[in-house]
Amino acid sequence: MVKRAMKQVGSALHRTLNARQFGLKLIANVTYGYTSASFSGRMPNVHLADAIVQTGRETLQRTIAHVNQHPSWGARVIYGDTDSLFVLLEGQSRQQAFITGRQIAAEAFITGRQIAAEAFITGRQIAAEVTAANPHPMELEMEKVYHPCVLCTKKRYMGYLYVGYMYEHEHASPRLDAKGIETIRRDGCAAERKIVEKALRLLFTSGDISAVKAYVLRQCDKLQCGRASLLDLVFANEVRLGTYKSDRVRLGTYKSEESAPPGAQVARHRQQIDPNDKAQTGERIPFIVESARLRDSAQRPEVLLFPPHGVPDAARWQAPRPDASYYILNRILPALGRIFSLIGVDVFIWYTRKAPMAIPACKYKQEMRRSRRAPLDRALPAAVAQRARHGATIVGYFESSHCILCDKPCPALLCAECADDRLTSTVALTTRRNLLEARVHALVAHCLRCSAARVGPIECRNLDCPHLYSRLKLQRQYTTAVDHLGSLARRAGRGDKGDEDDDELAW
Amino acid sequence: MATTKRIIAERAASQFEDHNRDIFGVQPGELPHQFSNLYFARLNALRPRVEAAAKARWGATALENVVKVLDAVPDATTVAIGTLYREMKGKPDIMEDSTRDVLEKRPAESERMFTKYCGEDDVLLLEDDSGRLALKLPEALADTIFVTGMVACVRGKLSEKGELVVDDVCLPGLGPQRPLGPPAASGERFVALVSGLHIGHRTQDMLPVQLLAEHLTGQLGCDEDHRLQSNIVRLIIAGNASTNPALALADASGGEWQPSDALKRMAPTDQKALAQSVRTLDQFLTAVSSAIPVDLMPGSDDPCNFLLPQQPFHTSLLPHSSQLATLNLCTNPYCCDVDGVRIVGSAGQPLDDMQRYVPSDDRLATLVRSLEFQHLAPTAPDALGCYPFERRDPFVINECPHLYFAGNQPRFESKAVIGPEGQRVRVVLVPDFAKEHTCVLVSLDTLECTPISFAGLAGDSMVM
Repeated sequence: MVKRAMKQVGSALHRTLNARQFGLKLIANVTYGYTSASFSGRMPNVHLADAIVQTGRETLQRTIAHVNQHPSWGARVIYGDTDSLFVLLEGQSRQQAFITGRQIAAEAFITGRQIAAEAFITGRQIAAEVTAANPHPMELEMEKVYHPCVLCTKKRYMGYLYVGYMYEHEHASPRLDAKGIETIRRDGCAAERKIVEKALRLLFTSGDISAVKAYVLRQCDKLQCGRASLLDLVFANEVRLGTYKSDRVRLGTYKSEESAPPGAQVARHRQQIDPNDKAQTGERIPFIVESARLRDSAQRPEVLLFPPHGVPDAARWQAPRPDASYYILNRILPALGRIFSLIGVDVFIWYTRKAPMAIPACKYKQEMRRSRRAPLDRALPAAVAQRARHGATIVGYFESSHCILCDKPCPALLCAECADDRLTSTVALTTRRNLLEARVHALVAHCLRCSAARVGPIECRNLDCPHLYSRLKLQRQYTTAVDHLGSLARRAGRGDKGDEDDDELAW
Repeated sequence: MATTKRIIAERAASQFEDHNRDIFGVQPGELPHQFSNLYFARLNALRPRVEAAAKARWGATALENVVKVLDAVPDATTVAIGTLYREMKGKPDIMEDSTRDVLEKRPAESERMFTKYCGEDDVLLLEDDSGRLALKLPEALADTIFVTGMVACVRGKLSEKGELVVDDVCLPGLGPQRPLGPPAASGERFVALVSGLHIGHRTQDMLPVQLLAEHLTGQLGCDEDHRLQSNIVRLIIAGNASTNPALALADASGGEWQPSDALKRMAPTDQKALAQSVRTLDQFLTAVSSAIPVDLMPGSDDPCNFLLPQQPFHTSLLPHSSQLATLNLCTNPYCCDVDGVRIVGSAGQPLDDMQRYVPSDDRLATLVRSLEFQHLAPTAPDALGCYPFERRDPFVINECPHLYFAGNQPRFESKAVIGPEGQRVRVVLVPDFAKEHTCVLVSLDTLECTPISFAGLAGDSMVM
């Protein structure tokens, strides 16, 4: 009743009523809680508690039976939780289902959430009838229609949501509504959320699993190539320093800091660099999982963005790479798997071409698909050597040895075939450089304006700004592209001596 | 059978001096990306010229109390010299059409050229090394072309609101010009200007291009024509001779392929397709430059760098034609002397960009105006991408040219400008050949200008 009144009033009263309905709900909840807490509670009354549960249960079961047996609705309850029902209305239009839903809801103090192939009218009917069949304060509300919908497990479901006003419009675009899955949880990274959401949208709109597969593999490829924005790979977990086991044993002789969660490790590391930079309890510390030794794989985003002090040629600094296999195999694929396993699709097979159980975990990495190499990520040999000198990990030595143009295996930058066809390779590389130049210019101009700096290098370190990530990445790619062209020109210059102008190509 | 007597017309020779690399050449390196130096260099270079022009216009005493804009006091006549800045609401935040989708989302080629940034409530500001001052223009100057980046001397009174109520604005005006030499004894000589050949683009009709080549190489027409053709001493290709390979491929794929895909990976077949258009250009240039000296400027759609000044085509791109000494690979913008005639021009990007700052569609007027700014590309680096020069501004026009052109324009237009000191300048809009099928001949002796059209021959109406 309070809720119904809320719908009719303005904002100030709305807030009051909202507080009131919330209060009423809390009182009801807490009353039940007190009575059922038989061991530690202060007002235990098991009989009352059981009665509450049983009444709710009975009502729900009665409603379910009622809905299932009703001759004209053709409805089937597929999920119900305490106070809600998901009713499947097979073969009905969304409008029809909405009305049926209302009829059902007219009978009980239950929220009628329903899933429906087609829904609104039936939904209304159901709501109306169920409400009528129950004693007065109980009411079943026809809440929304999902079309289509995936129910994962208890309390985890998502679907295209249609609410009341939408059913009148034939082409109203639905909203993706998700409960309890990766798209809305904050403990993952943005890449996870985006990919799961986009995959679901693709599934819902096209119903074409192969389209979803192509999309997912494309994204994995992007990750492995390093084309994904680092911002999408940032985790930000809450950190509570001082509550971890390793904090307590720090003074002892065994157990090092590794046992803390990665966010806490990063927070400690930050504190080592700057003692004032102490993480507040509950603060979200951003970090990226780098492909390095397991022990320090969680890194501050800055480590992957800015060259450390004292690097001689900062523009050609080779940034550490995020651990694509971690993101793909431990994050994205499991999240997708939880959803797609319901319809009998094994996402791991898409990726590894093997069932996950068939290979032991340690072999996962070896089973990774070889992605197409990122052409703009391939530094000149000199730069690689320099990286080796500056404290690189073993990963630094595993450089790609594929032609930057045709991806054939070859030790040099270009395979013999590409290098011989100078015209084609120059056109391809020049095109790349031209596109990059335009982008870098646009980004730099924007960043200069944004930071109100007309002089000097841009000092912006705002880790939440997507432009920071793209600008740094593109600037490095641009330098690489210029180097690639330069090296092609030098090679050409060695090839035929008659050419004098080759140095210009470096621009 | 009557034999026709063939006249062997020999192509007239000309003296050629190439200033491109001195002025517009850029050393390879990183982009430090700071532009304040460029504005500073521009102001320094143009300040004495503006002062001289202002003295000539307002009298010698007018410039006795030039102030920095921050030192201006209300109600006294203020004279200040600085760079103009036009603040426009309509100017898109560069980010909106850039970020990662910089090329995917941009409007189609044809629309892009005509987008306007300017609007009713634009504010004109004067900026020098101390600060900025808003200008309130009088009615008389309301329709005058003012764009960002031009250096001007402004006279007016500071109002209560802090605006400078302007009564006159003085520009550098036309610079000093070298006198033209005497006409050559061999007869009138010409340079040919053409732009936007778009060779290799799928929509390009190759017949006019072929006719152009035959006309220039003297394979077309009667003896009279040959005599004329032999007096064309030079062909200047003002940009867009080829197609932007990535754009062309995206165009041909019907949306399946985006230009940005070139950054990821191109299948070898795509790479070959890209190279094919450049190869066709190479063949064309080989044919033409074996008969006539050719200056090839890069344009916005050519496989060269993006920022101005665009550096010449690399010889690897034109393996055959670049072997010929007659093919001169130039920068964009362009600055050369042909028989003492100073020719300066661009492939059109600076004019296209300036046009976005002015409400009128009179491109010729804007181009003439930029001559009075003594600057090729005032809107760089504000909206036009340019290399961040540190010590000098290469776009400043130091010496008034005799021929001043902009390539890739919607149609042919031309005007003779006579300066106060008797400077004579021929200003030409060179049309896009792919659309207009027109090339332009400019006489080196009289600076007269003639368009030659190869249109009306395409498709079914072709009679041969």
